[in-house]
Amino acid sequence: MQETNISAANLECCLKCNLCTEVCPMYAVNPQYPGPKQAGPDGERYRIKDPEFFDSALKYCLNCKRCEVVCPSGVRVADIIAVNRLKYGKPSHPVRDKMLASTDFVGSMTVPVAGLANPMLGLGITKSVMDGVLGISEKRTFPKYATKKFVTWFKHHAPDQTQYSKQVHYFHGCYVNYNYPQLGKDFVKLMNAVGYGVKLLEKEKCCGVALIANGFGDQAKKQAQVNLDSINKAGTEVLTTSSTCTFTMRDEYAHVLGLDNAKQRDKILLTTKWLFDKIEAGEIKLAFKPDFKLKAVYHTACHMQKMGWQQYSIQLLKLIPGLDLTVLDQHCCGISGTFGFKKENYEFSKEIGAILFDDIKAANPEAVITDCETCKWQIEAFTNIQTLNPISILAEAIDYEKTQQLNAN
Amino acid sequence: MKYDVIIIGGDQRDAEFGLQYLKAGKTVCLIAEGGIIGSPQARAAYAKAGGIILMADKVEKVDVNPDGTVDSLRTANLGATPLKADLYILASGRFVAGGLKSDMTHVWEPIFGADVQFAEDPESWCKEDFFAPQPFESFGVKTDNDGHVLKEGKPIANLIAMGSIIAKQ
Repeated sequence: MQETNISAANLECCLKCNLCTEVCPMYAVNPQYPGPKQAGPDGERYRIKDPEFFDSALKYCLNCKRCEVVCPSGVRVADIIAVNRLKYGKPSHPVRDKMLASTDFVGSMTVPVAGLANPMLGLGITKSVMDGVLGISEKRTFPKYATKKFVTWFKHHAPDQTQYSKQVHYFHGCYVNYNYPQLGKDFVKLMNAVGYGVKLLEKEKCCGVALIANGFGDQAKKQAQVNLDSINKAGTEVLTTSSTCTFTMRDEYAHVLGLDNAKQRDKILLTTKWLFDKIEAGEIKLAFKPDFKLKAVYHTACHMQKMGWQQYSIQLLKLIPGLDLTVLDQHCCGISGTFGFKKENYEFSKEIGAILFDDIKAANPEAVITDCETCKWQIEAFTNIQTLNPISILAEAIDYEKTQQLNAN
Repeated sequence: MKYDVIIIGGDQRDAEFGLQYLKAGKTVCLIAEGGIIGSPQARAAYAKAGGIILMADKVEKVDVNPDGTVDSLRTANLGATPLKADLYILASGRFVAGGLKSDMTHVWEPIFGADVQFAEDPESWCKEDFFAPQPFESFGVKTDNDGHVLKEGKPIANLIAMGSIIAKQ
């Protein structure tokens, strides 16, 4: 009876145990935030009666999903908050929020002038203006833009990819396309080494996570539908290198945007999961360079923990003989995508990440490894230690020729 | 993914129990559908000793060998990846934790379909006096003398039950 009589986000199953509040990183540092229980299931009971009960403090939710991971009753606490923000929330700084959320537009405009834009964005005067006019914290340094988009590089190399009998599609995401094409190149190298050619989707838009977080639900839905249609047309699995893009397309499209992604969901896989399963099944083998040496720590991004997929990345990394790897306790890094760039959130963002930064510094690694690009920005900003995706580490550590030979059939 | 021991559970005692296996040099994976309830110290000690926790995950499918033993588990989060172990421990609790399910006439164990002991007459499941011992609290999976879970009257050699899910006499 009970199981057929509950709402989509399991609101009625909340037992008021407050485990969600205990693990909420924002509640721990910000007395203005009422915590996930109050902001989510408790507040929802009021909002259903009258939207006037919408509390603007819901903007503080990081959407890290830690509340949902610990909920013993399966309440989708953060989904309730996200849906309500889209319904009733108002942007605190409309121009800035639109700019931060429009990753494709801003990326496309900036890449052609990256040679000029990168040093400009790093200047104190630019930062002051952005802080004063746009409300983007002057203490932040914007991630550097690439001088050439990943897709431009890929177009030149696409013909080489057709020689492989087995193929996969790659959802590169905004970060690889506009900021760090090297990760995309590392992905292509790794796939080629294990005998797979790479194709891009017919059309790819930003997954929409920044649009959802900044209250632009309609635009997020449009972009999501373009991605879902393209993924549907792709004849293979669609691999990613970003935990947040993966999580957004697999879960948020349905739970927050209300789109039907049932046909596409299982096709969207983080590369480390896909690779781990293929290695376990004996379909792929890796050979490593004998001289690869690195001391690193692995940071589990919040969305990675929500998906429960960190073990794929960790177990793959543990295959590398020369990698001295420590897995850190899971703590939120505090950036939450565009959230940490906003002037009013900078101190919260820094304070939330403090435990993680201390853990990293105590381990004194040569590199931090994580599956999330915005965690990378945050960790690099506060620890000055280079932070890399597991795919880049694997691409660097493999013996390319030997791996190709092992997988040639 | 292959471990020596997989515990399906979620409270601090499961983490403490897992820690004993870790100390004995075994690899352990704890599938905690409802997160880890209770002492954060127990959870931290377990994780520090190398214990794996699959948080908020749920066993959706069990692959069974021809001899009735458990071959592997599939979970909601890990999808097609099989989780294998030499020993499986069922510590999924009673009704609130989801280890046992019921409708108006039956009680069942949802993961393995284990034999469950419960009173036939639903009228006898509860007592009106809220503070009296409630008969439904004695319901649970049947085991042999070594703790192996019974299914259709036969013990499953690599599956033992632990904690409140075990039927009380």
